[in-house]
Amino acid sequence: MMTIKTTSQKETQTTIKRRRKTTMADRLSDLPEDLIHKIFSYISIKQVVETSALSSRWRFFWTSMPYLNFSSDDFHSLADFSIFVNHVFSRRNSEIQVSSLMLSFHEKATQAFVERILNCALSHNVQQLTVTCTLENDSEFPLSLCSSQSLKHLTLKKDCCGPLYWWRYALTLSSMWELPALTTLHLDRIELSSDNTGLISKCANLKNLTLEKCRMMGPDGFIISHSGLSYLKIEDWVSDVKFVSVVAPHLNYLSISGFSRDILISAPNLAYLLLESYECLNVLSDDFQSLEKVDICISCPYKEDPHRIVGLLQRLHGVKYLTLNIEILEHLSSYVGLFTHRPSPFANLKSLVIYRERVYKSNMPNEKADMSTELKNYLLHSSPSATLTIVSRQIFTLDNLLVLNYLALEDTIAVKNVTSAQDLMAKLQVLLEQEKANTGTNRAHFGRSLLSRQNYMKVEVERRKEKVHLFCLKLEEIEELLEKLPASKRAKVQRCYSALLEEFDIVMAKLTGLRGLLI
Amino acid sequence: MSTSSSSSKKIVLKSADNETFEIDEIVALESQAIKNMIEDECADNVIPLGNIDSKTLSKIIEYCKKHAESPKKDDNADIDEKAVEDLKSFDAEFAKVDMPLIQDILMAANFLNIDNLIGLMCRTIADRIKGKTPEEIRKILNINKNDLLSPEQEAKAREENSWAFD
Repeated sequence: MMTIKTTSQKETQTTIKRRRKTTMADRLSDLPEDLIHKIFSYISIKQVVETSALSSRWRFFWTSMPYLNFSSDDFHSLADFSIFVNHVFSRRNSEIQVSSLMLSFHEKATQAFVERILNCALSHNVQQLTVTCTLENDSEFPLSLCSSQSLKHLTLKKDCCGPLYWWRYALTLSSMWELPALTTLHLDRIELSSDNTGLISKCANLKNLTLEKCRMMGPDGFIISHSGLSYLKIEDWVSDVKFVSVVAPHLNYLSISGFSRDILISAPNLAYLLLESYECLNVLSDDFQSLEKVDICISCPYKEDPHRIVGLLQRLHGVKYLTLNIEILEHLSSYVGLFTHRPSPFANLKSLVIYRERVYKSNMPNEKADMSTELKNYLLHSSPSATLTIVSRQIFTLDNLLVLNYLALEDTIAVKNVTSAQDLMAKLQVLLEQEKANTGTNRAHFGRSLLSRQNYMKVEVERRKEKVHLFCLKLEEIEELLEKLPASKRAKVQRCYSALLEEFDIVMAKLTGLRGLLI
Repeated sequence: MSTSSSSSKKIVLKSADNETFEIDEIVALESQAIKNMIEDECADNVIPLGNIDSKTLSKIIEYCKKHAESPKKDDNADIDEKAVEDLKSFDAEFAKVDMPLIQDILMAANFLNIDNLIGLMCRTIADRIKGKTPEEIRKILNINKNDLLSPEQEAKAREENSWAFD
């Protein structure tokens, strides 16, 4: 006979109290298994195995872990690491699929070694794989013959010792892998040659692709062509190609930042577009038919051909939510003739947001962004109901950091400043490296005639002036941040900073050396 | 934007120890379980939560309020960095409670299906165990003395898995 148990309120209360105080065998084992797995997913599998000695409940728990987190840092030698990995795979409960595997190692590990671990993992139907490789030399990613029917998410990441050195050593990919189930690919700081474009198009089910700080290389452009791709994010600093071409008929989201060469886009179904660059942005594309939201930021657009910008705006005609930085509009304002007689392209605009991107010490802290009536008409005339929001982007301003410094949050801010400073230093370092490379190759541009040489010199002098100005501004920004750091934090970044200064001096000497000769 | 706190719909929750909490619907929606109830139109009366005490429930409401107020991270919006930072420091502060309460919050979040909160609590527990010796972990997890392995058993477990122990 079934009895229905009714719990009075008093009983419930005592139950709760009891659970808190006495009956709790241990706090974790009361939780459902999937939650314990989740907790342990943040811990290296080595420590999870060690829990077998905790209590009888934990004796065999690790064998059912679906998330495996291996790191060579946990081991004295690679031999120990290798033995450990073998043990985990041979002793874990093989009926439980490995849903995610994280593997991080120093490149001391041989290719064969890493390949063996990966193949071992891939043969256990891993769905999500993250490999982080810490480099001390140029190397090739040991994934040469990797193939898996089950792998859905793959992240490959290069790490180097110290934030400033991540581009120093190159990590390349070979062009053979068979990953038919892959939907998400994330490459971080990998060198990509034009041979690698096939790798991407070969993954038939790929939906999401992120190229974070990867260096794309090739004699011409880098082509990303995929019929199923829906999300593409390229964050770039150092690529050495003439153009990037994106051909993706089902692309829904596209974000390109840092890249300042030509971008060719063929993505008729694009709904979200985010473009961010430092000085110019040449986008060649078909018309976008399904645009919802566009965010364009060119922080220093003054050299940009205004026709290009207007041309791009024309092609964005269907957009509903548009965000632009005021510097673009200020630049356009000097070319009123360009758009006074053109109809406003945006018929569906619901919102236009304008903000100031560059705020330096010399600027007023809350300088209002504004634009001319002609420009306003051009942007908004076809969508009278659209809202216009003008904001000054305050988060990044130094003044704000200064104010925050006075708050009790000093330590958090210092940590944040350290990160920002490191980030800024890394960026400046990349710019300097590029400039160094650039100065070397420019001789090829010398023409034979006196006139062309003079012209070249003029242009070159201007270019160098701008670079000197830019580098000084960046360095100033970094110095300001460093000044605000407490001594203990400053010591952490001092070495990087000294290295950066050396590099800075070398490049400056090169840049200004030419000017000195001419005067 | 259309919902202001005064005009929005209210949801009433009742804890195991019979305390009632009236919250805005938007806050309650942080819980996938309650969201489903609202969609199924069975959230009009008081929702009894017989396995969550008032102390835990008020913490959970505090969390949901904060997260409901913050701008939502839809896939494509350029998120205000400051808001993200703000939420991060809120989460860090929120997790500074003792282990029994963390476990209660985790159980309740699991029951109410609040994904972010489950993740936060799991990370918090992991951070407290990470790099600790078995002895320390026993203390942190309050492992019952009766459940400990006998010295022989423990030696056996260590021997079996000697490849994992330094």
